[in-house]
Amino acid sequence: MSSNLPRTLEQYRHAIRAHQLSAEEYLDETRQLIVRNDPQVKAFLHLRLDAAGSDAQSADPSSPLAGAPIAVKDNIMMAGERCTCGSRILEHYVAPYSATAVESLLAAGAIVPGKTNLDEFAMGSSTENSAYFPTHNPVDLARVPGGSSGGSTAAVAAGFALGAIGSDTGGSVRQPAAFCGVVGFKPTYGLISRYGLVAFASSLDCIGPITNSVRDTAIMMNVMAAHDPKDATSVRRPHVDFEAALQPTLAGKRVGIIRELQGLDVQPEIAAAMKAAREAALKSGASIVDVSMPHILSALPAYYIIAPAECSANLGRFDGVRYGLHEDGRDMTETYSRTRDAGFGTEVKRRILIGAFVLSAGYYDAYYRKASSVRQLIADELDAAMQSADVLLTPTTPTTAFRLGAVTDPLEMYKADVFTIPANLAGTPAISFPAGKDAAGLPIGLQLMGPRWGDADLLSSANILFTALGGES
Amino acid sequence: MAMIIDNKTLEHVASLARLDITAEEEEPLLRDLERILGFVAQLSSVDTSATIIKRPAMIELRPDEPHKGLTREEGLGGAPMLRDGFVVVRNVMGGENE
Repeated sequence: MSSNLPRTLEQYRHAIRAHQLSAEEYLDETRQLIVRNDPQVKAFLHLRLDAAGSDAQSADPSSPLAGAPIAVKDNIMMAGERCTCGSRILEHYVAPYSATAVESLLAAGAIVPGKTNLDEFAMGSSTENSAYFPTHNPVDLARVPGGSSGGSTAAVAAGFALGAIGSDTGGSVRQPAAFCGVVGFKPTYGLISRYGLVAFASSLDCIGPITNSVRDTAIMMNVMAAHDPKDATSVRRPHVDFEAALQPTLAGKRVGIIRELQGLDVQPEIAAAMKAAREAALKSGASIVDVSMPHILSALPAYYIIAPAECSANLGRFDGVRYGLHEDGRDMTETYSRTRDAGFGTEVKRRILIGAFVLSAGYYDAYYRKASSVRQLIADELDAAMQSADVLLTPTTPTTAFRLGAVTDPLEMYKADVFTIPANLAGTPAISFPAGKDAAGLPIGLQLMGPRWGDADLLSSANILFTALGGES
Repeated sequence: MAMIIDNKTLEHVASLARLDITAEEEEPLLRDLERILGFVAQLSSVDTSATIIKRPAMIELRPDEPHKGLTREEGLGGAPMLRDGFVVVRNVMGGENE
């Protein structure tokens, strides 16, 4: 049975409905894979396989997800389960309620096998910043899975789940998806509720699905995209059926190539994948257009002001009083400092300090206000680019997955986010899809960006390129 | 080139952020912060004089109606120290702790 087990949600749903498979049988196979391989991959921080087993018994085969295992990043709350955010400061924290996205998945029949590893508070690009252990890339265990949602992408790539959710603040769903050879989608800001996602940088954070095919992403979007009164930044939109919106060709579509990104140093096989994608687009009826975004390279420095600023404010809540770790001091101030010193790792402290600096008196205008203006400039340029193109094609990352321990300089690590950050600053949708492998057999990811609220069209275009380049339809 | 951040500024910022910086942490942190702030400082050359920051469209607030939420026990369940349904903290107004 293992040889022809479903690899996608679409295949799984078909097998369930045809009575060729039950949710319990599938979960049992998944459990065996996890028990055998997760000690090497280390995708999960906590497993709940027994609870998942009883959930599978009562799974409704006619529900949209029909008992499919979906992994959840450990900065997204699930009632009654620990939610550590990969941090010592929340080591023993148990979520008192579920994120709206998790509730939607459960209501649609998903089964959660466990909570996945991440860079502490989603700050990182390799999952090496987890306070517990690094996750390994299932494609090559000596390599990082990317981050910060590296546990979720590794879980999907390793077959531990048919889908997963992660959070994407600067590329944290798309970059690890590229490194692990899976699909990762950051929707338009406001399309999926952030309620129950532990905040890192609230104006940038998005929950997004991670799957083995673009069609599966559409299936998960159908479950999670909804207005939520519990999230004031959630937006009420007309209902869209993302799966039904998948079109067979790119006829009439304009695929934009951003001029200012052409000079960047990317691995030769990734440049070749870009060329293959352009050819596939032309073959499917699209035209290729040159677009200009003169300030796109300022996205990276703007992000590394805005995200730390918001992080320093959001992480102020970890004070040793209301939840999490508590290290006693002589007075409250010392209690706060001791708790935070003991509970936060190096990268989190670094970002809190940068954030406190750029927001402090005397520096606010030069750093934070300036970055906010540059963010607007980039958002305006992206909106303008989307007037002359329907989608924009870029690599997801400049390189394929690097070796564990190979990148130790924080600034070098930040530079890996150059292609993914603009969509977060602009609040627009972007997807990474697998597009072949490099000479070492490591997955290559390409990114398509679309206009705000053009999520369904973007998935449709991505699906065509993904399948043309060898992906599952 | 003048340093963007020195030991004194770092200590001030750390106290604002309620972070204890140990003596061993200070030098590597200063070095990293100086490089990161030096990198992001390139934004000063971007002309934003004509850029108007747009506020997001009015966010929809939910009706101000009571809903069933978490119970007090659930809401406070994560607090490290509780007594009689209250969070226990150090004396904040001076004087002796109990």
